[in-house]
Amino acid sequence: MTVLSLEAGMARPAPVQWLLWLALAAAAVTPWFAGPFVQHLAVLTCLNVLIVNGLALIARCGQLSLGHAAFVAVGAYGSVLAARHLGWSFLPATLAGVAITAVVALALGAIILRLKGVYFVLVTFAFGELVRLALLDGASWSGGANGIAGILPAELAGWVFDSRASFYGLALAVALGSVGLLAAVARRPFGHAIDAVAENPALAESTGLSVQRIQLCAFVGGCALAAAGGALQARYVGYVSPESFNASISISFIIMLVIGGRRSVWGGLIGAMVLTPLPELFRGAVQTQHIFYGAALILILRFLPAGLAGLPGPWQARRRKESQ
Amino acid sequence: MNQPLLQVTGLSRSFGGLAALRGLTFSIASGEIVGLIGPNGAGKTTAFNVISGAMPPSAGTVQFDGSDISGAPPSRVVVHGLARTFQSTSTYPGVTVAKNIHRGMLSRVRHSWLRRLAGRSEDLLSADEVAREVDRLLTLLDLQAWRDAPAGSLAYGLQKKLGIAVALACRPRMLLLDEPAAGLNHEECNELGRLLRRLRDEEGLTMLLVEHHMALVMELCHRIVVLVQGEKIAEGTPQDIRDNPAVIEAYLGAPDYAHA
Repeated sequence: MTVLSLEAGMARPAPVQWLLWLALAAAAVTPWFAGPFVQHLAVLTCLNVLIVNGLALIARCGQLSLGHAAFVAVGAYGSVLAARHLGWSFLPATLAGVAITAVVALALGAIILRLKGVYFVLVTFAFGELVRLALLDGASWSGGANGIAGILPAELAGWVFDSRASFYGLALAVALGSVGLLAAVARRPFGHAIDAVAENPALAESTGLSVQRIQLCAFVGGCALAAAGGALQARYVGYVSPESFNASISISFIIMLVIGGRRSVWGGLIGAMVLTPLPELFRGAVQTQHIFYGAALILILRFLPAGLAGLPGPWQARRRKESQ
Repeated sequence: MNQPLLQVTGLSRSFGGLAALRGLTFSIASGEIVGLIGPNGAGKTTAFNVISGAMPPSAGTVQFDGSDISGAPPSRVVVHGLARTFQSTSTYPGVTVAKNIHRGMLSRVRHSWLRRLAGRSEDLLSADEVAREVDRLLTLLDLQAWRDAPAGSLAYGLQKKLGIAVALACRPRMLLLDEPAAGLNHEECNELGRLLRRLRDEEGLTMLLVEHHMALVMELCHRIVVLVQGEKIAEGTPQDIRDNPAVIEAYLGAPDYAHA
Protein backbone atom coordinates (compact mmCIF):
# COMPACT_ATOMS: atom_id res chain seq x y z
CA MET A 1 0.00 0.00 0.00
CA THR A 2 2.94 2.28 0.51
CA VAL A 3 3.93 1.73 -3.09
CA LEU A 4 0.45 2.76 -4.11
CA SER A 5 0.71 5.98 -2.20
CA LEU A 6 3.85 6.81 -4.17
CA GLU A 7 1.64 6.83 -7.24
CA ALA A 8 -1.40 8.43 -5.63
CA GLY A 9 -0.96 11.66 -7.57
CA MET A 10 -1.47 9.84 -10.86
CA ALA A 11 -4.89 8.33 -10.20
CA ARG A 12 -7.86 9.99 -11.86
CA PRO A 13 -11.27 10.16 -10.26
CA ALA A 14 -13.36 7.22 -11.46
CA PRO A 15 -16.22 8.95 -13.35
CA VAL A 16 -13.86 11.07 -15.46
CA GLN A 17 -11.78 8.02 -16.20
CA TRP A 18 -14.79 6.04 -17.42
CA LEU A 19 -15.97 8.93 -19.56
CA LEU A 20 -12.53 9.22 -21.16
CA TRP A 21 -12.32 5.48 -21.84
CA LEU A 22 -15.78 5.56 -23.40
CA ALA A 23 -14.90 8.54 -25.62
CA LEU A 24 -11.68 6.83 -26.69
CA ALA A 25 -13.48 3.59 -27.53
CA ALA A 26 -16.10 5.50 -29.53
CA ALA A 27 -13.43 7.43 -31.41
CA ALA A 28 -11.59 4.18 -32.17
CA VAL A 29 -14.68 2.40 -33.54
CA THR A 30 -16.27 5.29 -35.49
CA PRO A 31 -14.00 5.16 -38.59
CA TRP A 32 -15.29 1.70 -39.54
CA PHE A 33 -18.77 3.16 -39.91
CA ALA A 34 -17.67 6.35 -41.64
CA GLY A 35 -16.65 7.27 -45.17
CA PRO A 36 -13.24 6.75 -46.79
CA PHE A 37 -12.06 10.27 -45.94
CA VAL A 38 -12.60 9.75 -42.22
CA GLN A 39 -10.93 6.34 -42.47
CA HIS A 40 -7.96 7.92 -44.20
CA LEU A 41 -7.65 10.52 -41.44
CA ALA A 42 -7.99 7.80 -38.81
CA VAL A 43 -5.12 5.82 -40.32
CA LEU A 44 -2.89 8.91 -40.48
CA THR A 45 -3.82 9.70 -36.88
CA CYS A 46 -2.82 6.22 -35.71
CA LEU A 47 0.52 6.41 -37.51
CA ASN A 48 1.16 9.84 -35.99
CA VAL A 49 0.31 8.48 -32.53
CA LEU A 50 3.00 5.85 -32.98
CA ILE A 51 5.59 8.34 -34.24
CA VAL A 52 4.80 11.04 -31.65
CA ASN A 53 4.96 8.45 -28.87
CA GLY A 54 8.51 7.78 -30.02
CA LEU A 55 9.24 11.49 -29.74
CA ALA A 56 7.58 11.51 -26.30
CA LEU A 57 9.97 8.83 -25.07
CA ILE A 58 12.95 10.95 -26.15
CA ALA A 59 11.44 14.15 -24.74
CA ARG A 60 10.65 12.43 -21.44
CA CYS A 61 14.35 12.14 -20.63
CA GLY A 62 14.87 15.82 -21.34
CA GLN A 63 15.97 15.99 -24.98
CA LEU A 64 14.02 17.47 -27.89
CA SER A 65 14.67 15.94 -31.32
CA LEU A 66 14.08 18.21 -34.30
CA GLY A 67 15.02 15.41 -36.70
CA HIS A 68 12.34 12.92 -35.82
CA ALA A 69 11.01 12.77 -39.39
CA ALA A 70 14.45 11.60 -40.53
CA PHE A 71 14.11 8.47 -38.40
CA VAL A 72 10.65 7.91 -39.84
CA ALA A 73 12.33 8.18 -43.26
CA VAL A 74 15.12 5.73 -42.41
CA GLY A 75 12.51 3.23 -41.20
CA ALA A 76 10.33 3.73 -44.29
CA TYR A 77 13.16 3.55 -46.85
CA GLY A 78 14.93 0.76 -44.95
CA SER A 79 11.86 -1.45 -44.96
CA VAL A 80 10.94 -0.64 -48.55
CA LEU A 81 14.47 -1.32 -49.82
CA ALA A 82 14.68 -4.55 -47.81
CA ALA A 83 11.42 -5.70 -49.39
CA ARG A 84 12.46 -4.59 -52.87
CA HIS A 85 16.04 -5.84 -53.07
CA LEU A 86 15.98 -8.79 -50.69
CA GLY A 87 12.45 -9.88 -51.49
CA TRP A 88 11.51 -9.89 -47.81
CA SER A 89 7.85 -9.95 -46.82
CA PHE A 90 6.15 -7.26 -44.74
CA LEU A 91 7.11 -8.30 -41.22
CA PRO A 92 10.83 -9.02 -41.70
CA ALA A 93 11.20 -5.98 -43.94
CA THR A 94 9.57 -3.76 -41.30
CA LEU A 95 11.77 -5.23 -38.58
CA ALA A 96 14.80 -4.61 -40.82
CA GLY A 97 13.77 -0.96 -41.21
CA VAL A 98 13.36 -0.63 -37.44
CA ALA A 99 16.69 -2.36 -36.78
CA ILE A 100 18.58 -0.14 -39.23
CA THR A 101 17.05 2.94 -37.61
CA ALA A 102 17.96 1.68 -34.14
CA VAL A 103 21.58 1.20 -35.20
CA VAL A 104 21.70 4.68 -36.75
CA ALA A 105 20.12 6.16 -33.59
CA LEU A 106 22.60 4.29 -31.41
CA ALA A 107 25.60 5.56 -33.35
CA LEU A 108 24.26 9.11 -33.57
CA GLY A 109 22.96 9.23 -30.01
CA ALA A 110 26.24 8.02 -28.51
CA ILE A 111 27.84 11.15 -29.94
CA ILE A 112 25.18 13.85 -29.79
CA LEU A 113 23.45 13.02 -26.48
CA ARG A 114 26.40 14.70 -24.76
CA LEU A 115 24.88 17.94 -26.03
CA LYS A 116 22.18 19.65 -24.01
CA GLY A 117 19.22 21.87 -24.78
CA VAL A 118 19.34 23.96 -27.91
CA TYR A 119 22.59 22.36 -29.14
CA PHE A 120 20.97 18.94 -29.27
CA VAL A 121 17.96 20.44 -31.07
CA LEU A 122 20.23 22.05 -33.67
CA VAL A 123 22.25 18.89 -34.34
CA THR A 124 19.13 16.73 -34.73
CA PHE A 125 17.77 19.37 -37.14
CA ALA A 126 20.99 19.15 -39.16
CA PHE A 127 20.80 15.36 -39.14
CA GLY A 128 17.24 15.54 -40.44
CA GLU A 129 18.32 17.71 -43.35
CA LEU A 130 21.29 15.42 -43.99
CA VAL A 131 19.03 12.39 -44.34
CA ARG A 132 16.62 14.25 -46.61
CA LEU A 133 19.43 15.50 -48.87
CA ALA A 134 21.04 12.06 -48.97
CA LEU A 135 17.72 10.57 -50.10
CA LEU A 136 17.32 13.31 -52.73
CA ASP A 137 20.87 12.80 -53.96
CA GLY A 138 20.99 9.00 -53.99
CA ALA A 139 18.80 8.64 -57.06
CA SER A 140 20.30 5.25 -57.93
CA TRP A 141 18.97 3.55 -54.80
CA SER A 142 16.38 5.91 -53.30
CA GLY A 143 14.76 7.12 -56.48
CA GLY A 144 15.84 10.69 -55.68
CA ALA A 145 13.11 13.31 -55.74
CA ASN A 146 10.78 10.88 -57.52
CA GLY A 147 10.83 8.57 -54.53
CA ILE A 148 9.80 4.94 -54.71
CA ALA A 149 6.32 4.04 -55.91
CA GLY A 150 4.39 0.81 -56.18
CA ILE A 151 5.06 -0.43 -52.65
CA LEU A 152 3.04 -3.57 -51.93
CA PRO A 153 0.42 -3.38 -49.16
CA ALA A 154 1.12 -4.81 -45.73
CA GLU A 155 0.53 -8.53 -45.33
CA LEU A 156 0.55 -10.53 -42.11
CA ALA A 157 -0.04 -14.30 -41.85
CA GLY A 158 -2.14 -14.42 -45.01
CA TRP A 159 -4.09 -11.24 -44.22
CA VAL A 160 -3.61 -8.46 -46.75
CA PHE A 161 -4.23 -4.95 -45.42
CA ASP A 162 -5.04 -3.40 -48.78
CA SER A 163 -8.21 -1.51 -47.87
CA ARG A 164 -8.49 1.56 -45.68
CA ALA A 165 -10.73 -0.24 -43.19
CA SER A 166 -8.42 -3.23 -42.79
CA PHE A 167 -5.26 -1.12 -42.59
CA TYR A 168 -6.96 1.06 -39.98
CA GLY A 169 -7.33 -2.06 -37.83
CA LEU A 170 -3.60 -2.74 -38.08
CA ALA A 171 -2.63 0.91 -37.46
CA LEU A 172 -5.00 1.17 -34.49
CA ALA A 173 -3.55 -1.96 -32.88
CA VAL A 174 0.00 -0.69 -33.30
CA ALA A 175 -0.89 2.82 -32.06
CA LEU A 176 -2.61 1.52 -28.94
CA GLY A 177 0.26 -0.90 -28.46
CA SER A 178 2.70 2.02 -28.42
CA VAL A 179 0.61 3.83 -25.79
CA GLY A 180 0.59 0.64 -23.73
CA LEU A 181 4.34 0.34 -24.14
CA LEU A 182 4.83 3.92 -22.96
CA ALA A 183 2.57 3.32 -19.95
CA ALA A 184 4.45 0.12 -19.08
CA VAL A 185 7.82 1.85 -19.32
CA ALA A 186 6.60 4.73 -17.16
CA ARG A 187 5.68 2.31 -14.36
CA ARG A 188 8.98 0.43 -14.40
CA PRO A 189 12.21 1.45 -12.67
CA PHE A 190 13.54 2.42 -16.09
CA GLY A 191 10.66 4.88 -16.48
CA HIS A 192 11.35 6.38 -13.05
CA ALA A 193 15.01 6.63 -14.02
CA ILE A 194 14.08 8.50 -17.21
CA ASP A 195 12.02 10.98 -15.18
CA ALA A 196 14.87 11.38 -12.67
CA VAL A 197 17.37 12.06 -15.46
CA ALA A 198 15.03 14.62 -17.02
CA GLU A 199 14.42 16.50 -13.79
CA ASN A 200 17.94 16.65 -12.36
CA PRO A 201 20.68 14.94 -14.40
CA ALA A 202 23.49 15.79 -11.96
CA LEU A 203 21.63 14.27 -9.03
CA ALA A 204 20.57 11.24 -11.07
CA GLU A 205 24.18 10.63 -12.12
CA SER A 206 25.42 10.96 -8.55
CA THR A 207 22.88 8.40 -7.32
CA GLY A 208 24.12 5.76 -9.73
CA LEU A 209 21.96 6.35 -12.81
CA SER A 210 24.11 6.64 -15.91
CA VAL A 211 22.54 9.66 -17.60
CA GLN A 212 24.14 8.88 -20.93
CA ARG A 213 23.07 5.25 -21.01
CA ILE A 214 19.48 6.03 -20.00
CA GLN A 215 19.14 8.84 -22.55
CA LEU A 216 20.65 6.59 -25.21
CA CYS A 217 18.15 3.79 -24.46
CA ALA A 218 15.24 6.23 -24.65
CA PHE A 219 16.60 7.80 -27.84
CA VAL A 220 17.04 4.44 -29.59
CA GLY A 221 13.60 3.27 -28.42
CA GLY A 222 11.93 6.49 -29.55
CA CYS A 223 13.59 6.39 -32.96
CA ALA A 224 12.61 2.72 -33.36
CA LEU A 225 8.94 3.66 -32.80
CA ALA A 226 9.31 6.39 -35.43
CA ALA A 227 10.79 3.84 -37.84
CA ALA A 228 7.87 1.46 -37.30
CA GLY A 229 5.54 4.36 -38.10
CA GLY A 230 7.53 5.10 -41.27
CA ALA A 231 7.48 1.48 -42.45
CA LEU A 232 3.70 1.29 -41.94
CA GLN A 233 3.15 4.64 -43.63
CA ALA A 234 5.07 3.48 -46.72
CA ARG A 235 2.84 0.39 -46.96
CA TYR A 236 -0.32 2.41 -46.52
CA VAL A 237 0.44 5.19 -49.00
CA GLY A 238 2.31 2.84 -51.36
CA TYR A 239 4.85 5.55 -52.03
CA VAL A 240 7.80 7.22 -50.30
CA SER A 241 9.61 10.43 -51.21
CA PRO A 242 12.14 12.58 -49.35
CA GLU A 243 9.77 15.52 -49.11
CA SER A 244 7.40 13.54 -46.87
CA PHE A 245 10.12 13.67 -44.21
CA ASN A 246 11.31 17.28 -44.16
CA ALA A 247 11.88 19.56 -41.20
CA SER A 248 8.33 20.90 -41.13
CA ILE A 249 7.09 17.34 -40.59
CA SER A 250 9.49 17.05 -37.64
CA ILE A 251 8.13 20.32 -36.29
CA SER A 252 4.56 19.13 -36.65
CA PHE A 253 5.44 16.07 -34.52
CA ILE A 254 6.81 18.39 -31.84
CA ILE A 255 3.66 20.53 -31.99
CA MET A 256 1.51 17.42 -31.56
CA LEU A 257 3.57 16.37 -28.56
CA VAL A 258 3.53 19.78 -26.87
CA ILE A 259 -0.18 20.37 -27.44
CA GLY A 260 -1.01 16.82 -26.37
CA GLY A 261 1.23 16.96 -23.30
CA ARG A 262 4.94 16.26 -22.96
CA ARG A 263 4.82 14.64 -19.55
CA SER A 264 1.83 12.38 -20.00
CA VAL A 265 1.66 8.89 -21.43
CA TRP A 266 -1.46 10.09 -23.27
CA GLY A 267 0.17 13.21 -24.75
CA GLY A 268 1.10 11.64 -28.09
CA LEU A 269 -2.33 10.09 -28.52
CA ILE A 270 -4.22 13.29 -27.72
CA GLY A 271 -1.91 15.51 -29.76
CA ALA A 272 -2.13 13.32 -32.84
CA MET A 273 -5.92 12.95 -32.51
CA VAL A 274 -6.40 16.70 -32.33
CA LEU A 275 -3.82 17.88 -34.85
CA THR A 276 -3.90 15.24 -37.60
CA PRO A 277 -7.44 16.04 -38.79
CA LEU A 278 -7.06 19.79 -38.27
CA PRO A 279 -5.17 20.71 -41.49
CA GLU A 280 -7.65 18.66 -43.49
CA LEU A 281 -10.54 20.60 -41.98
CA PHE A 282 -8.80 23.90 -42.72
CA ARG A 283 -7.98 23.03 -46.32
CA GLY A 284 -9.30 26.43 -47.36
CA ALA A 285 -6.79 28.18 -45.11
CA VAL A 286 -3.52 26.53 -46.08
CA GLN A 287 -1.64 29.81 -45.85
CA THR A 288 -2.98 30.87 -42.49
CA GLN A 289 -3.16 27.53 -40.65
CA HIS A 290 0.41 27.84 -39.43
CA ILE A 291 -0.48 31.13 -37.80
CA PHE A 292 -3.17 29.28 -35.87
CA TYR A 293 -0.68 26.58 -34.90
CA GLY A 294 1.76 29.18 -33.65
CA ALA A 295 -0.92 30.94 -31.64
CA ALA A 296 -2.20 27.64 -30.24
CA LEU A 297 1.33 26.63 -29.25
CA ILE A 298 1.97 29.90 -27.43
CA LEU A 299 -1.37 29.72 -25.63
CA ILE A 300 -0.79 26.11 -24.59
CA LEU A 301 2.73 26.81 -23.32
CA ARG A 302 1.47 29.85 -21.41
CA PHE A 303 -1.71 28.52 -19.88
CA LEU A 304 -1.46 24.72 -20.12
CA PRO A 305 2.21 23.72 -19.95
CA ALA A 306 1.23 20.09 -19.37
CA GLY A 307 -0.73 20.12 -22.66
CA LEU A 308 -4.27 18.88 -23.22
CA ALA A 309 -3.44 15.74 -21.25
CA GLY A 310 -2.95 18.01 -18.22
CA LEU A 311 -6.48 19.43 -18.48
CA PRO A 312 -8.00 17.22 -15.75
CA GLY A 313 -5.16 18.32 -13.44
CA PRO A 314 -6.58 21.58 -12.03
CA TRP A 315 -10.03 20.04 -11.85
CA GLN A 316 -8.62 17.06 -9.95
CA ALA A 317 -6.74 19.27 -7.52
CA ARG A 318 -9.91 21.15 -6.69
CA ARG A 319 -11.76 17.89 -6.16
CA ARG A 320 -9.04 16.59 -3.87
CA LYS A 321 -9.15 19.76 -1.84
CA GLU A 322 -12.93 19.51 -1.48
CA SER A 323 -12.75 15.89 -0.39
CA GLN A 324 -10.29 16.69 2.39
CA MET B 1 44.91 1.15 11.65
CA ASN B 2 43.85 -1.38 9.03
CA GLN B 3 43.51 -0.69 5.33
CA PRO B 4 41.96 2.74 4.72
CA LEU B 5 38.50 2.94 3.12
CA LEU B 6 39.47 5.88 0.93
CA GLN B 7 43.03 6.40 -0.21
CA VAL B 8 43.83 9.49 -2.27
CA THR B 9 47.36 9.50 -3.69
CA GLY B 10 49.14 12.34 -5.48
CA LEU B 11 45.87 13.75 -6.79
CA SER B 12 46.29 16.70 -9.18
CA ARG B 13 43.94 18.60 -11.39
CA SER B 14 44.66 21.58 -13.55
CA PHE B 15 42.43 23.77 -15.67
CA GLY B 16 44.54 25.05 -18.55
CA GLY B 17 47.56 26.60 -16.87
CA LEU B 18 45.95 26.78 -13.44
CA ALA B 19 46.85 23.96 -11.07
CA ALA B 20 43.79 23.83 -8.83
CA LEU B 21 45.01 20.75 -6.99
CA ARG B 22 48.61 19.64 -6.60
CA GLY B 23 49.63 16.22 -5.32
CA LEU B 24 46.97 15.81 -2.66
CA THR B 25 47.52 12.68 -0.56
CA PHE B 26 45.43 11.57 2.40
CA SER B 27 43.47 8.58 3.59
CA ILE B 28 40.29 7.95 5.55
CA ALA B 29 39.74 4.88 7.70
CA SER B 30 36.38 3.19 8.00
CA GLY B 31 34.14 4.97 10.52
CA GLU B 32 36.10 8.22 10.50
CA ILE B 33 34.72 11.69 9.93
CA VAL B 34 37.29 13.82 8.15
CA GLY B 35 37.00 17.50 7.33
CA LEU B 36 38.53 19.16 4.28
CA ILE B 37 39.00 22.88 4.92
CA GLY B 38 40.81 25.81 3.42
CA PRO B 39 40.23 29.40 2.33
CA ASN B 40 38.19 30.19 -0.78
CA GLY B 41 39.85 28.97 -3.96
CA ALA B 42 42.00 26.44 -2.10
CA GLY B 43 40.81 23.58 -4.30
CA LYS B 44 38.37 21.95 -1.89
CA THR B 45 35.56 21.69 -4.40
CA THR B 46 37.95 20.48 -7.09
CA ALA B 47 39.21 17.74 -4.78
CA PHE B 48 35.63 16.86 -3.99
CA ASN B 49 34.62 16.70 -7.65
CA VAL B 50 37.62 14.59 -8.63
CA ILE B 51 37.05 12.10 -5.80
CA SER B 52 33.32 11.76 -6.57
CA GLY B 53 34.02 11.31 -10.29
CA ALA B 54 32.38 14.52 -11.52
CA MET B 55 35.69 15.32 -13.25
CA PRO B 56 38.73 13.13 -14.02
CA PRO B 57 42.06 13.84 -12.28
CA SER B 58 45.04 15.18 -14.26
CA ALA B 59 47.28 12.89 -12.24
CA GLY B 60 47.09 10.65 -9.19
CA THR B 61 44.73 7.94 -8.05
CA VAL B 62 41.65 7.53 -5.89
CA GLN B 63 41.22 4.12 -4.30
CA PHE B 64 38.06 3.13 -2.52
CA ASP B 65 38.08 -0.05 -0.49
CA GLY B 66 41.02 -1.38 -2.43
CA SER B 67 39.69 -0.74 -5.95
CA ASP B 68 40.88 2.07 -8.18
CA ILE B 69 38.01 4.44 -8.97
CA SER B 70 40.01 7.36 -10.41
CA GLY B 71 38.33 8.79 -13.50
CA ALA B 72 35.17 6.65 -13.17
CA PRO B 73 31.90 8.58 -13.75
CA PRO B 74 29.80 9.34 -10.65
CA SER B 75 27.24 6.66 -11.56
CA ARG B 76 30.03 4.04 -11.31
CA VAL B 77 31.62 5.51 -8.19
CA VAL B 78 28.29 5.20 -6.36
CA VAL B 79 28.11 1.49 -7.13
CA HIS B 80 31.36 1.08 -5.18
CA GLY B 81 29.66 2.63 -2.14
CA LEU B 82 30.76 6.26 -2.30
CA ALA B 83 27.88 8.77 -2.52
CA ARG B 84 27.89 12.56 -2.46
CA THR B 85 25.64 15.48 -1.65
CA PHE B 86 25.63 18.87 -3.35
CA GLN B 87 26.65 22.28 -2.08
CA SER B 88 23.37 23.98 -2.85
CA THR B 89 20.17 21.98 -2.60
CA SER B 90 19.80 19.26 -5.18
CA THR B 91 16.49 17.43 -5.25
CA TYR B 92 13.82 16.48 -7.76
CA PRO B 93 11.65 19.52 -6.97
CA GLY B 94 8.56 18.42 -8.88
CA VAL B 95 7.90 15.15 -7.05
CA THR B 96 7.18 14.24 -3.44
CA VAL B 97 9.81 13.73 -0.76
CA ALA B 98 9.08 9.99 -0.71
CA LYS B 99 9.48 9.80 -4.48
CA ASN B 100 12.80 11.64 -4.25
CA ILE B 101 14.13 8.94 -1.95
CA HIS B 102 12.63 6.26 -4.16
CA ARG B 103 14.53 7.68 -7.15
CA GLY B 104 17.70 7.63 -5.10
CA MET B 105 17.31 3.88 -4.79
CA LEU B 106 16.73 3.27 -8.49
CA SER B 107 20.28 2.23 -9.27
CA ARG B 108 19.92 -0.59 -6.75
CA VAL B 109 16.57 -1.66 -8.16
CA ARG B 110 17.72 -1.45 -11.75
CA HIS B 111 20.94 -3.21 -11.07
CA SER B 112 19.15 -6.16 -9.64
CA TRP B 113 16.78 -6.16 -12.60
CA LEU B 114 19.77 -6.57 -14.90
CA ARG B 115 21.11 -9.26 -12.64
CA ARG B 116 17.80 -11.03 -12.73
CA LEU B 117 18.19 -11.21 -16.51
CA ALA B 118 21.59 -12.75 -15.93
CA GLY B 119 20.01 -15.21 -13.51
CA ARG B 120 21.43 -13.72 -10.32
CA SER B 121 18.47 -12.37 -8.41
CA GLU B 122 19.80 -12.37 -4.85
CA ASP B 123 20.13 -8.56 -4.72
CA LEU B 124 16.61 -7.89 -5.95
CA LEU B 125 14.86 -5.15 -4.04
CA SER B 126 11.14 -5.97 -3.95
CA ALA B 127 8.48 -3.27 -3.98
CA ASP B 128 7.92 -3.95 -0.28
CA GLU B 129 11.57 -3.54 0.54
CA VAL B 130 11.71 -0.29 -1.43
CA ALA B 131 8.70 1.06 0.49
CA ARG B 132 10.20 -0.02 3.80
CA GLU B 133 13.54 1.58 2.96
CA VAL B 134 11.80 4.84 1.99
CA ASP B 135 10.02 4.85 5.34
CA ARG B 136 13.21 4.01 7.22
CA LEU B 137 15.09 6.92 5.65
CA LEU B 138 12.17 9.30 6.21
CA THR B 139 12.25 8.36 9.90
CA LEU B 140 16.02 8.47 10.16
CA LEU B 141 16.11 12.03 8.81
CA ASP B 142 12.90 13.06 10.55
CA LEU B 143 11.15 13.94 7.30
CA GLN B 144 7.94 11.89 7.74
CA ALA B 145 5.77 15.00 8.08
CA TRP B 146 6.74 16.06 4.57
CA ARG B 147 6.45 12.62 3.00
CA ASP B 148 3.89 13.62 0.35
CA ALA B 149 4.90 17.25 -0.10
CA PRO B 150 6.64 18.27 -3.34
CA ALA B 151 10.35 18.57 -2.60
CA GLY B 152 10.44 22.02 -4.21
CA SER B 153 8.00 23.37 -1.62
CA LEU B 154 10.26 22.48 1.33
CA ALA B 155 12.29 25.04 3.28
CA TYR B 156 15.97 25.28 2.39
CA GLY B 157 17.21 23.37 5.43
CA LEU B 158 14.75 20.54 4.83
CA GLN B 159 15.78 20.33 1.18
CA LYS B 160 19.41 19.94 2.25
CA LYS B 161 18.34 17.16 4.59
CA LEU B 162 16.43 15.53 1.76
CA GLY B 163 19.61 15.72 -0.31
CA ILE B 164 21.34 13.63 2.36
CA ALA B 165 18.42 11.20 2.39
CA VAL B 166 18.63 10.75 -1.39
CA ALA B 167 22.37 10.10 -1.15
CA LEU B 168 21.77 7.59 1.67
CA ALA B 169 19.20 5.82 -0.50
CA CYS B 170 22.12 4.56 -2.60
CA ARG B 171 23.19 2.78 0.60
CA PRO B 172 26.76 4.10 0.55
CA ARG B 173 29.51 3.13 2.96
CA MET B 174 31.00 6.57 2.67
CA LEU B 175 29.35 9.93 2.22
CA LEU B 176 30.99 12.99 0.67
CA LEU B 177 29.28 16.12 1.99
CA ASP B 178 29.83 19.37 0.09
CA GLU B 179 29.29 22.22 2.57
CA PRO B 180 26.34 20.61 4.35
CA ALA B 181 25.99 23.55 6.75
CA ALA B 182 26.04 26.32 4.13
CA GLY B 183 22.92 28.44 4.43
CA LEU B 184 21.67 26.76 7.60
CA ASN B 185 20.79 28.75 10.70
CA HIS B 186 22.35 28.10 14.09
CA GLU B 187 19.73 25.63 15.27
CA GLU B 188 19.70 23.73 11.97
CA CYS B 189 23.47 23.57 12.13
CA ASN B 190 23.43 21.95 15.57
CA GLU B 191 20.84 19.50 14.35
CA LEU B 192 23.02 18.67 11.34
CA GLY B 193 25.94 17.91 13.66
CA ARG B 194 23.79 15.54 15.72
CA LEU B 195 22.44 13.92 12.57
CA LEU B 196 25.88 13.30 11.05
CA ARG B 197 27.18 11.82 14.29
CA ARG B 198 24.15 9.57 14.49
CA LEU B 199 24.67 8.45 10.90
CA ARG B 200 28.20 7.43 11.79
CA ASP B 201 27.19 5.62 14.98
CA GLU B 202 24.01 3.93 13.76
CA GLU B 203 24.70 3.45 10.06
CA GLY B 204 28.45 2.96 10.32
CA LEU B 205 28.98 5.68 7.74
CA THR B 206 32.39 7.12 6.97
CA MET B 207 32.32 10.79 6.01
CA LEU B 208 34.39 13.40 4.27
CA LEU B 209 33.03 16.89 4.55
CA VAL B 210 34.07 20.09 2.87
CA GLU B 211 32.91 22.84 5.19
CA HIS B 212 33.40 26.50 6.05
CA HIS B 213 31.56 26.34 9.33
CA MET B 214 34.58 25.97 11.66
CA ALA B 215 32.66 25.27 14.85
CA LEU B 216 30.93 22.33 13.20
CA VAL B 217 34.13 20.95 11.69
CA MET B 218 36.09 21.26 14.95
CA GLU B 219 33.36 19.60 16.94
CA LEU B 220 32.50 16.80 14.52
CA CYS B 221 35.67 15.70 12.74
CA HIS B 222 38.22 13.23 13.97
CA ARG B 223 40.80 14.59 11.61
CA ILE B 224 41.12 17.64 9.43
CA VAL B 225 42.98 18.15 6.14
CA VAL B 226 43.86 21.75 5.31
CA LEU B 227 44.24 22.83 1.69
CA VAL B 228 45.81 26.09 0.59
CA GLN B 229 46.29 26.96 -3.07
CA GLY B 230 45.80 23.37 -4.15
CA GLU B 231 48.27 21.87 -1.70
CA LYS B 232 47.86 20.16 1.63
CA ILE B 233 49.57 22.28 4.27
CA ALA B 234 48.45 20.43 7.37
CA GLU B 235 46.65 17.36 8.60
CA GLY B 236 45.76 16.34 12.12
CA THR B 237 43.25 16.38 14.93
CA PRO B 238 41.11 19.51 15.42
CA GLN B 239 43.41 20.52 18.31
CA ASP B 240 46.54 20.20 16.14
CA ILE B 241 44.95 22.23 13.38
CA ARG B 242 43.75 24.96 15.73
CA ASP B 243 47.30 25.45 16.99
CA ASN B 244 49.10 25.02 13.67
CA PRO B 245 50.86 28.32 12.76
CA ALA B 246 50.75 27.57 9.03
CA VAL B 247 46.97 27.19 9.16
CA ILE B 248 46.55 30.35 11.19
CA GLU B 249 48.69 32.20 8.68
CA ALA B 250 46.68 30.86 5.74
CA TYR B 251 43.41 31.97 7.29
CA LEU B 252 44.41 35.22 9.00
CA GLY B 253 47.56 36.23 7.12
CA ALA B 254 51.07 36.33 8.59
CA PRO B 255 51.41 38.41 11.75
CA ASP B 256 53.45 41.58 11.26
CA TYR B 257 56.24 40.49 13.57
CA ALA B 258 57.02 37.61 11.19
CA HIS B 259 58.54 40.14 8.82
CA ALA B 260 60.37 42.04 11.47
